[in-house]
Amino acid sequence: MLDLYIDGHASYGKIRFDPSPEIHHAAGTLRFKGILDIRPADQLWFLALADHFRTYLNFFHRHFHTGSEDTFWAAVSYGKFNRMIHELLGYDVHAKGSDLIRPHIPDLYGCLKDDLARPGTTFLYVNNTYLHKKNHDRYKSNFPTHFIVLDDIHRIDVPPSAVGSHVPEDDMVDIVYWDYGGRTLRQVSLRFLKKIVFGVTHCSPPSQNP
Amino acid sequence: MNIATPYRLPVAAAFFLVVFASSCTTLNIKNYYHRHRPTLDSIEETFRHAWQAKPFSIEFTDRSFDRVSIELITDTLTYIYEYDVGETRLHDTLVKYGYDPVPVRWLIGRMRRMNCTWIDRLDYYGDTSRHSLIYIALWPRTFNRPFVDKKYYILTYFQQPQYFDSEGRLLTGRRMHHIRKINAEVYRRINDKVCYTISDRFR
Repeated sequence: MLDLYIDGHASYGKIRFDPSPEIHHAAGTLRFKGILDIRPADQLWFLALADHFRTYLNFFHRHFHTGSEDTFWAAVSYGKFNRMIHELLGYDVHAKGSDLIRPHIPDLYGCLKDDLARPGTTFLYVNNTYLHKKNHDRYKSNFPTHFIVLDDIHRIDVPPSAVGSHVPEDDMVDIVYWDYGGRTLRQVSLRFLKKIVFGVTHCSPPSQNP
Repeated sequence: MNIATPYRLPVAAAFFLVVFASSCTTLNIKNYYHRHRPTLDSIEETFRHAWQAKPFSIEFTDRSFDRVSIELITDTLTYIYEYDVGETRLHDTLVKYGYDPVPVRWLIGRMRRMNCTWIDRLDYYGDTSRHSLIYIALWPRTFNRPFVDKKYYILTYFQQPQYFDSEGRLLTGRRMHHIRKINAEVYRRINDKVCYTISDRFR
Protein backbone atom coordinates (compact mmCIF):
# COMPACT_ATOMS: atom_id res chain seq x y z
CA MET A 1 0.00 0.00 0.00
CA LEU A 2 2.88 2.37 0.79
CA ASP A 3 4.48 1.63 -2.59
CA LEU A 4 1.13 2.26 -4.27
CA TYR A 5 0.72 5.53 -2.40
CA ILE A 6 4.29 6.82 -2.80
CA ASP A 7 5.36 5.42 -6.19
CA GLY A 8 1.97 5.00 -7.87
CA HIS A 9 2.59 1.32 -8.59
CA ALA A 10 3.24 -1.78 -6.54
CA SER A 11 3.38 -5.57 -6.54
CA TYR A 12 1.26 -7.93 -4.48
CA GLY A 13 2.34 -11.55 -4.92
CA LYS A 14 2.46 -12.13 -8.65
CA ILE A 15 0.22 -9.17 -9.40
CA ARG A 16 1.69 -5.91 -10.63
CA PHE A 17 -0.58 -2.93 -9.91
CA ASP A 18 0.00 0.01 -12.21
CA PRO A 19 -3.11 2.20 -11.91
CA SER A 20 -3.93 4.74 -14.61
CA PRO A 21 -3.33 8.47 -13.98
CA GLU A 22 -7.10 8.93 -13.54
CA ILE A 23 -6.97 6.56 -10.57
CA HIS A 24 -4.07 8.51 -9.06
CA HIS A 25 -6.15 11.67 -9.16
CA ALA A 26 -9.38 10.08 -7.92
CA ALA A 27 -8.02 8.04 -5.01
CA GLY A 28 -8.68 9.90 -1.79
CA THR A 29 -11.12 12.36 -3.36
CA LEU A 30 -14.30 10.21 -3.47
CA ARG A 31 -17.08 11.81 -1.47
CA PHE A 32 -20.43 10.76 -0.02
CA LYS A 33 -19.47 7.07 0.01
CA GLY A 34 -20.07 6.56 3.72
CA ILE A 35 -17.12 5.47 5.79
CA LEU A 36 -14.95 5.49 2.64
CA ASP A 37 -15.04 9.30 2.86
CA ILE A 38 -12.50 9.22 5.67
CA ARG A 39 -10.60 6.13 4.54
CA PRO A 40 -8.46 7.32 1.64
CA ALA A 41 -6.29 4.19 1.76
CA ASP A 42 -9.38 2.05 1.20
CA GLN A 43 -10.31 4.26 -1.74
CA LEU A 44 -6.84 3.75 -3.22
CA TRP A 45 -7.01 -0.02 -2.75
CA PHE A 46 -10.53 -0.47 -4.15
CA LEU A 47 -9.83 1.72 -7.17
CA ALA A 48 -6.54 -0.06 -7.87
CA LEU A 49 -8.28 -3.44 -7.69
CA ALA A 50 -11.09 -2.34 -9.99
CA ASP A 51 -8.59 -0.84 -12.42
CA HIS A 52 -6.48 -3.99 -12.56
CA PHE A 53 -9.04 -6.79 -12.61
CA ARG A 54 -11.41 -6.65 -15.54
CA THR A 55 -14.41 -8.70 -16.54
CA TYR A 56 -17.10 -8.80 -19.21
CA LEU A 57 -18.97 -6.16 -17.20
CA ASN A 58 -16.24 -3.73 -18.25
CA PHE A 59 -17.14 -4.11 -21.92
CA PHE A 60 -18.84 -0.71 -22.02
CA HIS A 61 -16.85 0.75 -19.13
CA ARG A 62 -13.22 0.17 -19.96
CA HIS A 63 -11.64 3.27 -18.45
CA PHE A 64 -12.14 5.20 -15.24
CA HIS A 65 -13.91 8.54 -15.41
CA THR A 66 -15.32 10.68 -12.63
CA GLY A 67 -18.25 8.78 -11.20
CA SER A 68 -17.15 5.42 -12.63
CA GLU A 69 -16.95 4.01 -9.13
CA ASP A 70 -20.77 3.88 -9.18
CA THR A 71 -20.99 2.06 -12.53
CA PHE A 72 -20.23 -1.36 -13.99
CA TRP A 73 -16.60 -0.21 -14.24
CA ALA A 74 -16.23 -1.13 -10.57
CA ALA A 75 -18.58 -4.12 -10.62
CA VAL A 76 -17.29 -7.52 -9.57
CA SER A 77 -18.65 -10.59 -11.32
CA TYR A 78 -18.50 -13.99 -9.67
CA GLY A 79 -15.62 -15.12 -11.89
CA LYS A 80 -13.68 -11.94 -11.20
CA PHE A 81 -14.16 -12.31 -7.46
CA ASN A 82 -12.83 -15.88 -7.45
CA ARG A 83 -9.96 -14.92 -9.75
CA MET A 84 -8.99 -12.00 -7.50
CA ILE A 85 -8.75 -14.23 -4.43
CA HIS A 86 -6.80 -16.92 -6.24
CA GLU A 87 -4.34 -14.58 -7.95
CA LEU A 88 -3.84 -12.18 -5.06
CA LEU A 89 -3.63 -14.62 -2.18
CA GLY A 90 -2.80 -17.89 -3.89
CA TYR A 91 -5.76 -19.48 -2.12
CA ASP A 92 -7.37 -22.65 -3.36
CA VAL A 93 -10.84 -21.55 -4.50
CA HIS A 94 -13.84 -23.89 -4.75
CA ALA A 95 -16.80 -22.08 -6.28
CA LYS A 96 -20.38 -23.09 -7.07
CA GLY A 97 -22.58 -20.55 -8.79
CA SER A 98 -22.77 -17.93 -11.50
CA ASP A 99 -23.85 -14.35 -12.19
CA LEU A 100 -27.30 -15.21 -13.54
CA ILE A 101 -28.38 -18.67 -12.44
CA ARG A 102 -28.57 -19.96 -8.90
CA PRO A 103 -26.49 -23.06 -8.21
CA HIS A 104 -28.29 -26.35 -7.77
CA ILE A 105 -27.44 -27.27 -4.18
CA PRO A 106 -30.16 -29.63 -2.86
CA ASP A 107 -28.91 -29.48 0.73
CA LEU A 108 -27.76 -25.88 1.07
CA TYR A 109 -27.64 -26.05 4.85
CA GLY A 110 -25.45 -29.17 4.83
CA CYS A 111 -23.22 -27.72 2.12
CA LEU A 112 -22.63 -24.50 4.06
CA LYS A 113 -22.08 -26.41 7.30
CA ASP A 114 -19.45 -28.57 5.56
CA ASP A 115 -17.71 -25.51 4.13
CA LEU A 116 -17.63 -23.79 7.52
CA ALA A 117 -16.17 -26.88 9.15
CA ARG A 118 -13.21 -26.85 6.76
CA PRO A 119 -10.24 -24.49 7.24
CA GLY A 120 -10.58 -21.27 5.28
CA THR A 121 -13.25 -18.69 4.50
CA THR A 122 -16.71 -19.12 3.01
CA PHE A 123 -18.21 -16.38 0.85
CA LEU A 124 -21.80 -16.09 -0.32
CA TYR A 125 -22.71 -14.23 -3.50
CA VAL A 126 -26.17 -12.86 -2.72
CA ASN A 127 -28.96 -10.67 -3.99
CA ASN A 128 -28.80 -7.95 -1.39
CA THR A 129 -32.07 -6.30 -2.43
CA TYR A 130 -33.83 -9.01 -0.43
CA LEU A 131 -31.36 -9.23 2.44
CA HIS A 132 -31.08 -5.48 2.93
CA LYS A 133 -34.40 -4.19 1.67
CA LYS A 134 -34.44 -0.60 0.47
CA ASN A 135 -37.99 -0.28 -0.82
CA HIS A 136 -41.31 -2.10 -0.71
CA ASP A 137 -41.55 -2.87 -4.41
CA ARG A 138 -43.17 -6.21 -5.12
CA TYR A 139 -40.88 -6.89 -8.05
CA LYS A 140 -37.16 -6.86 -7.42
CA SER A 141 -34.25 -7.56 -9.72
CA ASN A 142 -33.23 -11.18 -9.64
CA PHE A 143 -29.49 -10.73 -9.79
CA PRO A 144 -26.72 -11.08 -7.24
CA THR A 145 -25.30 -7.82 -5.97
CA HIS A 146 -23.04 -8.41 -2.96
CA PHE A 147 -20.44 -10.73 -1.49
CA ILE A 148 -20.66 -11.55 2.21
CA VAL A 149 -18.46 -13.68 4.44
CA LEU A 150 -20.42 -16.46 6.12
CA ASP A 151 -19.27 -16.95 9.72
CA ASP A 152 -21.85 -19.38 11.01
CA ILE A 153 -25.16 -21.03 10.26
CA HIS A 154 -27.35 -23.09 12.54
CA ARG A 155 -30.94 -24.24 12.70
CA ILE A 156 -33.24 -22.68 15.25
CA ASP A 157 -36.53 -23.68 16.83
CA VAL A 158 -39.27 -21.19 16.05
CA PRO A 159 -42.95 -21.71 16.91
CA PRO A 160 -44.87 -22.54 13.71
CA SER A 161 -47.33 -19.77 14.48
CA ALA A 162 -44.47 -17.30 14.38
CA VAL A 163 -43.29 -18.07 10.86
CA GLY A 164 -46.50 -19.08 9.15
CA SER A 165 -47.73 -22.44 7.99
CA HIS A 166 -45.86 -22.25 4.68
CA VAL A 167 -42.46 -22.56 6.38
CA PRO A 168 -41.52 -25.93 7.87
CA GLU A 169 -40.51 -25.80 11.51
CA ASP A 170 -36.96 -26.93 10.82
CA ASP A 171 -36.54 -24.48 7.95
CA MET A 172 -35.44 -21.45 9.98
CA VAL A 173 -31.75 -20.75 10.45
CA ASP A 174 -29.56 -18.15 12.07
CA ILE A 175 -26.84 -16.92 9.75
CA VAL A 176 -23.91 -14.87 10.97
CA TYR A 177 -22.15 -12.95 8.23
CA TRP A 178 -19.71 -10.13 7.75
CA ASP A 179 -19.95 -7.36 5.22
CA TYR A 180 -18.14 -4.05 4.99
CA GLY A 181 -20.32 -2.73 7.81
CA GLY A 182 -19.64 -5.40 10.43
CA ARG A 183 -20.93 -8.77 11.61
CA THR A 184 -24.64 -9.46 11.58
CA LEU A 185 -26.82 -12.27 12.91
CA ARG A 186 -30.07 -12.73 11.07
CA GLN A 187 -32.92 -15.22 11.17
CA VAL A 188 -33.97 -16.38 7.72
CA SER A 189 -35.71 -19.39 6.27
CA LEU A 190 -33.68 -21.79 4.15
CA ARG A 191 -36.13 -21.13 1.33
CA PHE A 192 -35.26 -17.44 1.51
CA LEU A 193 -31.54 -18.24 1.66
CA LYS A 194 -31.78 -20.43 -1.45
CA LYS A 195 -33.59 -17.62 -3.20
CA ILE A 196 -30.88 -15.04 -2.60
CA VAL A 197 -27.70 -17.16 -2.92
CA PHE A 198 -26.17 -17.17 -6.40
CA GLY A 199 -22.77 -18.48 -5.41
CA VAL A 200 -20.89 -20.26 -2.65
CA THR A 201 -17.13 -19.88 -2.63
CA HIS A 202 -14.83 -21.60 -0.20
CA CYS A 203 -11.23 -20.37 -0.07
CA SER A 204 -8.47 -22.14 1.79
CA PRO A 205 -4.86 -21.07 2.24
CA PRO A 206 -2.35 -23.07 0.19
CA SER A 207 -0.68 -24.58 3.26
CA GLN A 208 -3.98 -25.98 4.50
CA ASN A 209 -4.89 -27.75 1.29
CA PRO A 210 -4.82 -31.54 1.63
CA MET B 1 -67.30 -4.73 -24.68
CA ASN B 2 -66.20 -2.76 -27.72
CA ILE B 3 -65.88 0.99 -27.49
CA ALA B 4 -67.30 2.79 -30.46
CA THR B 5 -64.63 4.33 -32.64
CA PRO B 6 -65.61 8.01 -32.02
CA TYR B 7 -65.21 7.46 -28.28
CA ARG B 8 -61.86 5.71 -28.37
CA LEU B 9 -59.79 8.87 -28.46
CA PRO B 10 -61.54 10.59 -25.51
CA VAL B 11 -61.44 7.39 -23.47
CA ALA B 12 -57.73 6.95 -24.15
CA ALA B 13 -57.10 10.61 -23.35
CA ALA B 14 -59.01 10.32 -20.08
CA PHE B 15 -57.05 7.21 -19.15
CA PHE B 16 -53.69 8.86 -19.75
CA LEU B 17 -54.86 11.96 -17.90
CA VAL B 18 -55.66 9.85 -14.84
CA VAL B 19 -52.30 8.06 -15.10
CA PHE B 20 -50.47 11.35 -15.53
CA ALA B 21 -52.31 12.97 -12.65
CA SER B 22 -51.66 10.10 -10.28
CA SER B 23 -47.99 9.94 -11.23
CA CYS B 24 -47.60 13.64 -10.57
CA THR B 25 -49.33 13.59 -7.22
CA THR B 26 -47.09 15.05 -4.59
CA LEU B 27 -47.57 15.96 -1.00
CA ASN B 28 -45.89 19.06 0.29
CA ILE B 29 -43.39 17.59 2.71
CA LYS B 30 -42.81 20.91 4.45
CA ASN B 31 -46.53 21.28 5.19
CA TYR B 32 -46.65 17.64 6.23
CA TYR B 33 -43.78 18.19 8.65
CA HIS B 34 -45.27 21.34 10.17
CA ARG B 35 -48.71 19.71 10.49
CA HIS B 36 -47.28 16.67 12.28
CA ARG B 37 -44.30 18.34 13.89
CA PRO B 38 -45.06 17.47 17.53
CA THR B 39 -45.42 13.78 16.73
CA LEU B 40 -42.44 13.61 14.37
CA ASP B 41 -40.21 15.51 16.76
CA SER B 42 -41.27 13.31 19.67
CA ILE B 43 -40.44 10.21 17.62
CA GLU B 44 -37.01 11.64 16.89
CA GLU B 45 -36.39 12.66 20.49
CA THR B 46 -37.55 9.35 21.95
CA PHE B 47 -35.46 7.40 19.45
CA ARG B 48 -32.39 9.55 20.11
CA HIS B 49 -32.58 8.98 23.87
CA ALA B 50 -33.32 5.27 23.53
CA TRP B 51 -30.52 4.86 20.98
CA GLN B 52 -28.04 6.50 23.32
CA ALA B 53 -28.93 3.93 25.99
CA LYS B 54 -28.49 1.02 23.54
CA PRO B 55 -28.24 1.36 19.75
CA PHE B 56 -30.98 -0.07 17.56
CA SER B 57 -33.13 0.67 14.52
CA ILE B 58 -36.73 -0.11 13.59
CA GLU B 59 -38.09 -0.98 10.16
CA PHE B 60 -41.53 -1.92 8.88
CA THR B 61 -41.02 -4.51 6.19
CA ASP B 62 -44.48 -4.71 4.62
CA ARG B 63 -46.98 -2.39 3.02
CA SER B 64 -49.56 -2.84 5.72
CA PHE B 65 -47.17 -1.94 8.57
CA ASP B 66 -47.85 -5.25 10.33
CA ARG B 67 -44.33 -6.72 10.25
CA VAL B 68 -41.59 -4.98 12.14
CA SER B 69 -37.89 -5.68 11.87
CA ILE B 70 -35.61 -4.57 14.64
CA GLU B 71 -31.83 -4.28 14.52
CA LEU B 72 -30.13 -4.59 17.89
CA ILE B 73 -26.61 -3.26 17.61
CA THR B 74 -23.89 -4.48 19.95
CA ASP B 75 -20.14 -4.01 19.86
CA THR B 76 -19.52 -7.35 18.19
CA LEU B 77 -22.69 -8.23 16.35
CA THR B 78 -25.85 -6.71 14.92
CA TYR B 79 -28.91 -8.87 15.55
CA ILE B 80 -31.79 -8.58 13.08
CA TYR B 81 -35.16 -10.03 14.05
CA GLU B 82 -38.55 -9.69 12.39
CA TYR B 83 -41.88 -10.05 14.17
CA ASP B 84 -45.55 -9.29 13.83
CA VAL B 85 -46.50 -6.07 15.60
CA GLY B 86 -47.56 -6.91 19.15
CA GLU B 87 -45.92 -10.33 19.19
CA THR B 88 -44.65 -11.27 22.65
CA ARG B 89 -41.34 -12.52 21.25
CA LEU B 90 -40.40 -8.91 20.47
CA HIS B 91 -40.69 -7.99 24.14
CA ASP B 92 -38.74 -11.10 25.17
CA THR B 93 -35.98 -10.33 22.68
CA LEU B 94 -35.62 -6.75 23.88
CA VAL B 95 -35.41 -7.85 27.50
CA LYS B 96 -32.92 -10.60 26.65
CA TYR B 97 -30.51 -8.12 25.06
CA GLY B 98 -30.93 -5.52 27.79
CA TYR B 99 -33.14 -3.02 25.95
CA ASP B 100 -35.90 -1.04 27.62
CA PRO B 101 -39.06 -2.28 25.84
CA VAL B 102 -41.16 0.76 26.77
CA PRO B 103 -39.67 3.35 24.38
CA VAL B 104 -39.26 0.76 21.63
CA ARG B 105 -42.91 -0.27 21.84
CA TRP B 106 -43.94 3.39 21.98
CA LEU B 107 -41.87 4.10 18.86
CA ILE B 108 -43.35 1.14 16.98
CA GLY B 109 -46.86 2.38 17.77
CA ARG B 110 -46.16 5.97 16.74
CA MET B 111 -44.23 4.95 13.64
CA ARG B 112 -47.12 2.77 12.56
CA ARG B 113 -49.58 5.59 13.11
CA MET B 114 -47.42 8.02 11.11
CA ASN B 115 -46.63 5.51 8.34
CA CYS B 116 -42.96 5.77 9.23
CA THR B 117 -41.20 2.85 7.62
CA TRP B 118 -37.69 3.20 9.03
CA ILE B 119 -35.83 5.06 11.73
CA ASP B 120 -32.12 4.87 12.35
CA ARG B 121 -29.13 6.90 13.36
CA LEU B 122 -26.76 7.37 10.43
CA ASP B 123 -23.18 8.50 10.28
CA TYR B 124 -22.02 11.03 7.75
CA TYR B 125 -18.56 12.37 7.26
CA GLY B 126 -16.93 15.75 7.05
CA ASP B 127 -13.38 16.27 5.86
CA THR B 128 -11.84 14.20 8.62
CA SER B 129 -14.54 13.68 11.19
CA ARG B 130 -17.69 11.64 11.69
CA HIS B 131 -21.06 13.16 12.53
CA SER B 132 -24.45 11.61 13.04
CA LEU B 133 -28.07 12.32 12.22
CA ILE B 134 -31.44 10.75 12.87
CA TYR B 135 -33.00 9.43 9.68
CA ILE B 136 -36.77 9.00 9.44
CA ALA B 137 -38.36 7.50 6.33
CA LEU B 138 -42.08 8.11 5.86
CA TRP B 139 -44.37 6.32 3.48
CA PRO B 140 -47.78 7.99 3.78
CA ARG B 141 -50.50 5.86 2.24
CA THR B 142 -51.93 8.88 0.46
CA PHE B 143 -48.64 9.01 -1.40
CA ASN B 144 -48.75 5.33 -2.30
CA ARG B 145 -50.06 5.57 -5.83
CA PRO B 146 -49.20 3.67 -8.96
CA PHE B 147 -46.59 5.08 -11.33
CA VAL B 148 -45.02 7.09 -8.53
CA ASP B 149 -41.33 6.31 -8.44
CA LYS B 150 -40.13 8.43 -5.54
CA LYS B 151 -42.57 7.54 -2.82
CA TYR B 152 -40.68 7.90 0.43
CA TYR B 153 -40.36 11.13 2.35
CA ILE B 154 -37.07 11.28 4.18
CA LEU B 155 -36.54 13.56 7.16
CA THR B 156 -33.08 14.05 8.61
CA TYR B 157 -32.51 15.56 12.03
CA PHE B 158 -29.02 16.98 12.50
CA GLN B 159 -27.37 17.69 15.82
CA GLN B 160 -26.03 21.07 14.70
CA PRO B 161 -27.52 23.82 12.51
CA GLN B 162 -26.59 23.20 8.89
CA TYR B 163 -25.63 25.41 5.97
CA PHE B 164 -27.75 25.81 2.85
CA ASP B 165 -27.43 27.52 -0.50
CA SER B 166 -29.88 30.12 -1.82
CA GLU B 167 -32.16 27.36 -3.12
CA GLY B 168 -32.29 25.70 0.29
CA ARG B 169 -30.06 22.77 -0.62
CA LEU B 170 -27.94 21.23 2.12
CA LEU B 171 -24.24 22.12 1.87
CA THR B 172 -21.19 20.35 3.21
CA GLY B 173 -20.14 23.31 5.35
CA ARG B 174 -19.89 27.04 5.72
CA ARG B 175 -16.71 27.36 3.67
CA MET B 176 -17.09 24.32 1.41
CA HIS B 177 -19.93 25.24 -0.91
CA HIS B 178 -20.48 21.71 -2.15
CA ILE B 179 -23.94 20.21 -2.06
CA ARG B 180 -23.96 17.39 0.45
CA LYS B 181 -25.52 14.08 -0.56
CA ILE B 182 -26.79 11.50 1.88
CA ASN B 183 -27.66 8.11 0.39
CA ALA B 184 -27.09 9.71 -3.02
CA GLU B 185 -29.90 12.23 -2.45
CA VAL B 186 -29.80 16.02 -2.22
CA TYR B 187 -31.57 17.39 0.84
CA ARG B 188 -33.47 20.63 1.29
CA ARG B 189 -34.10 22.84 4.28
CA ILE B 190 -37.13 22.69 6.54
CA ASN B 191 -35.39 24.46 9.39
CA ASP B 192 -31.77 24.82 10.50
CA LYS B 193 -31.56 21.27 11.81
CA VAL B 194 -34.20 19.39 9.83
CA CYS B 195 -33.99 18.58 6.12
CA TYR B 196 -36.06 16.54 3.72
CA THR B 197 -35.91 14.76 0.44
CA ILE B 198 -38.19 12.50 -1.59
CA SER B 199 -36.63 9.22 -2.60
CA ASP B 200 -37.39 5.92 -4.32
CA ARG B 201 -35.90 4.03 -1.37
CA PHE B 202 -36.39 4.37 2.32
CA ARG B 203 -32.70 3.82 3.19
